Amino acid sequence: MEKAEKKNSRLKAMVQSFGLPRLIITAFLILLLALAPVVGADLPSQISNIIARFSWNGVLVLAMVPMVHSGCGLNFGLPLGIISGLLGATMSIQFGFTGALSFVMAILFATPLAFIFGGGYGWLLNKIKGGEMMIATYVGFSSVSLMCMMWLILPYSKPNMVWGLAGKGLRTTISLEGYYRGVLANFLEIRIGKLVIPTGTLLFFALLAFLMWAFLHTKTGTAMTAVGSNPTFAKAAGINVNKIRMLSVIMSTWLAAVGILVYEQGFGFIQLYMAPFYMALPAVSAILIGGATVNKASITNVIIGTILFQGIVTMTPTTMNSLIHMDMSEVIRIIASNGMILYALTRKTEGAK
Amino acid sequence: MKKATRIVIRLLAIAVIIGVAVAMAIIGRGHTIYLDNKDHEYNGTTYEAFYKVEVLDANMKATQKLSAGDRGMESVMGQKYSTVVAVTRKEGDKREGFMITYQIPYGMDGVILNIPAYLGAADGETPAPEEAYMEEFIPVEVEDDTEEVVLGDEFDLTAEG
Amino acid sequence: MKTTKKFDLRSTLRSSSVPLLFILICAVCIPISGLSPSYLINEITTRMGRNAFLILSLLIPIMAGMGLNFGMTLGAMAGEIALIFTADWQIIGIPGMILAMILSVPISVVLGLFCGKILNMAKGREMITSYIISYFINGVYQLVVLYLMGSVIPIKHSTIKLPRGYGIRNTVSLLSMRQKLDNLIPLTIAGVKIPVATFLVILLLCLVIVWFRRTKLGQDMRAVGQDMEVARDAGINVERTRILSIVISTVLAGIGMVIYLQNMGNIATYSSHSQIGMFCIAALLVGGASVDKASIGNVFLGVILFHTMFIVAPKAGAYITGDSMIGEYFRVFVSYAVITVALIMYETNKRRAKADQGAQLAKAQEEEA
Repeated sequence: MEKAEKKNSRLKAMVQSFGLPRLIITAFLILLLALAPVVGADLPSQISNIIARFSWNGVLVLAMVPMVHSGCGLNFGLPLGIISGLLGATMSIQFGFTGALSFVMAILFATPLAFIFGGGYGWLLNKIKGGEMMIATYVGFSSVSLMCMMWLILPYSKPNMVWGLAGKGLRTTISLEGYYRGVLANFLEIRIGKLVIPTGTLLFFALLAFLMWAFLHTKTGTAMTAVGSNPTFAKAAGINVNKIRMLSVIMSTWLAAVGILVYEQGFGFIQLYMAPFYMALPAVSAILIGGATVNKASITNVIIGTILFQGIVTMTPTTMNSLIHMDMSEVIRIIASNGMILYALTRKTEGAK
Repeated sequence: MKKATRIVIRLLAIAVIIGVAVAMAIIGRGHTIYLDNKDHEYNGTTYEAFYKVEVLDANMKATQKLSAGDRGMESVMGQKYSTVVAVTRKEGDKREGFMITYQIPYGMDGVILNIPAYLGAADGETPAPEEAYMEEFIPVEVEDDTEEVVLGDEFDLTAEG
Repeated sequence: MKTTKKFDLRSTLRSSSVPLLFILICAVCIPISGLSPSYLINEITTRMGRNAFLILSLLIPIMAGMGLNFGMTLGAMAGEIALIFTADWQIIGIPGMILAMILSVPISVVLGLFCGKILNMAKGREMITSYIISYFINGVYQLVVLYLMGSVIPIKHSTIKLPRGYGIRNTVSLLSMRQKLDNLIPLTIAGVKIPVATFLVILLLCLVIVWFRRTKLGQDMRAVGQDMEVARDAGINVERTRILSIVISTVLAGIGMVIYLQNMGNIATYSSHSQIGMFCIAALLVGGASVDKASIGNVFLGVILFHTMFIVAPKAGAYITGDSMIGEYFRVFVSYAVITVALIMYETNKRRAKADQGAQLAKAQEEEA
C-alpha cells in the first residue's frame, strides 16, 4: 500500500514537473501516430514530414532561447528578426547570387541588419523592463506593416521577384528555384524507402544549437542566465545588466533572421508582406510545449517542443481527417498552441517578475 | 438589503429579461409573403388570375403592380399580415379595393398567398378553408455552390473598421 | 494618496502628442485625398455610430488598472454568435437586435469570467495575456461556428449553413436588420445622415459609465486600479472587482458588436471580430487615452481622428505614390505604431514614477536620519 502511494506521489511529481498540458499534447501526438496506420496514413512519409518541418522551424524556435535566458521573456518580436532575414534574402537575389552562394550571401546581408534592428529593439526593451512581451508583440506588428510598404517602395528590379506588369514592387511569394532551395536539405540527404532525412538542415540546426549551448556555458552566457534569474543579484555582482540584455536581443534577432532563411530553403519560397506577422506565435508555443517557461529555456526544450508542435501540425490533418472526416487541424492547432502560451503566462514565475 | 430579497430581485430581473427576449422573438419574427396573381385550383374550383392587382401602402399608393401570372413579395415582421389591394378584374373594369389579412404560422419563413383564391374563397357561400389560397414557400436548394472556409489566425487587414 | 495637480506644460504636451500628431496627419492627407468635406463628414458620422459603443467598452478595465482589454474580442464573438442565431431564427429588425443583445449577454458573461479568472492568474502581464486569450477563444469560436453549428447546435437555414451541411458560411447576411437602428429616427442635416437612435444608445451608455464611476463598485475599481495592495487592505475583494470589470467590458463589447454589425449589414463570420480589438484600441489611444487613463472624451476624439486617417490614407497614399496598396498598408502601420508608442510611453512613465517614488523615499529616509 505504502509503496503504491509513494509511486503515486512520485507520478504526481513527475506530472507536475512535466506539466499537464505538455502531457496531454504528448499523449495526443502518440495517439495520432498510433492511429496513423489504422486509418491508412503512410507512416514513413508522415515521419519524414515531421522531420522536415522540424528542420525548417528549429532555428526559429532556437531564437527564443537567448531572450528567455536574459529575462526579456518570450520573444513575440520575432518578426523583426525575420524581416532582417527577408531583407537579406531579397538583397542576395537582387545582387545576382545563385545556388548555395545565395544562401551564404543572404546570411551575410542579413547579419548587419539583424545587428542594427536587434540593437534598436534591445535598447527599447531596456527602457521598458517588465513590459517586454506586449511591446515586443507590437514592435513586431509595426515593423511588419512598415515593411509591407517598403516591399512596394524599395528599388528592387530583379524580374523574377517583382510584379510582372508594374515592373516594381516585390511579389508576395518568390520562388527559390535556382537559388538556395534545398541547399541544406539536399546536403547528405538520406533516403530509406519513403523515409527522407534532410541531414544538412539537421546538421546546421545542430551546429547552431551546439554553439548556443556552448555560449550559455561561457562567462557571458552564465552572466546572461544570472541576469534573467535574478537581475538585482546580477547587478550587485558587477554585471552590466543592460548590455547583457541587449546582447541577448541581438542574438535572438540574428537567429530569427537565419531561422527564416533555413525555413525558406526547406519550403522553397520567400513569403513577404503579411507572412512574418504570425510567425512568432508558433515558435513561442513550440518552445513552451517543449517545457520552457517565461524565464527558463534550454536546448532540450527547443528540440522536444519543435518535434511535438510540428508533429501535431503534421499529423492532425491526415489522421483526424480520415478518422472523423472533418478537417479540424487548423482549429486544434490554434487552440493547442495559444492554450499552451496562456498556460505559461499564468504560471507563477520565480525571480523578480 | 437582505440576502433573500436580493436573490428574489435578481431572479425577477432575469425573468423580465427572458420575458423581453421571448417577446422580441415573437414580435420580431420575420416572414416573407409571396403574393400570387395566378390561376389557382382548389377542390375542383378554379380561381382565375385578375387582369391587374396593385398592392397599396398606408397612403394608398401602389407599391407593387401585379399583372396576371405575376408574383409579388413583401417582408413582414410579426405574424399579423394585412394589406390593401386594388383589383382590376378584367381590362377596363373599375378598381375594387380589398383588405387582405392573414395570420402567418410562426414556423413558416415564407408563405404564398394566392390573391384570386383568397378573394374567391371569401366570396363563396361556405368560405373555403385556408389551404385554398395559402401554401408554404419552400426555397429551391441550390446544389452547385461549394463554399469553403479558409481558417487561420491571421487578421484581415484590408477590412473596414 | 492624492497629489495636487499642477499644470505642467511638458506633461500636457506629452499626453496630447498623439492626438496632435493625428491632427497633423489628417490636415496633410485630407486635401491630398481630394475627398469632399460632405463625404468625409458623412463617413465619420456613420463610423461614430458604428464604433463608439465598442470603444466605450474598453474604459472600465482601464479604470480597474487592467490596461487595454484586448479580450474585448471575446464580447465581439459573443455578439456574432447571438446574431447568427437570430439570423437563423429569422428574428428581424429592432426586435432582432434586442434579442441578439440579450442572447449575447450570457455568452459574454461566461467568456468574461473565464478571461477575468485567467487575468487574475497573470497579474502584471494582463495585456499580453488578454491578447493571447483573444487568440485562444478565437480557436474555440471557430470550433463552435465551423464544426458544431449545424451538426450539434441546430441551424435550420441553408442560406447561412455551408453546403457540406454543418458550419456557418463566410458571410451571414443581416439584410433584414441592416441599419434598422440607425434609421429608426431619420434625420438629415445639410446632407449628413445622422443615426439619431444609435447616438442615443451611445449617450445612454456614456451616462451609465459616468454614473457607474460613482457607485461603490466603480469606486472600488478605481481603488484597485490605483494600488491593488492598498485596496486589499481597505477590505476590497480585489480579485472579484477585477473579474467584474472584465465581465462588464465583455458584455458591453457584445452589445456594441450587435450595433456595429447592424450598420454593416452582414457578418464576416471568421474575420469580423478579429481586427475589431485592434482598431478600437488604436482609436482610443489616438484620442489621447493611455494604458492607465481614458475618458469618454478620448473615445469621441479618437473615432474622429482615427477614422479620418483611416478614410483618407488610402486615397492620399494612392495619390502620392500611385499605388493604392501603400495607403492601405500605411493605415495598418499607423494603427500598430500608435498602439506601440502608447505602450512604450506607458511603460517608461511607470518606470519614471517608480524611480521618483524611490528617490522620494530615499530623501525621506535621509531627513529622518
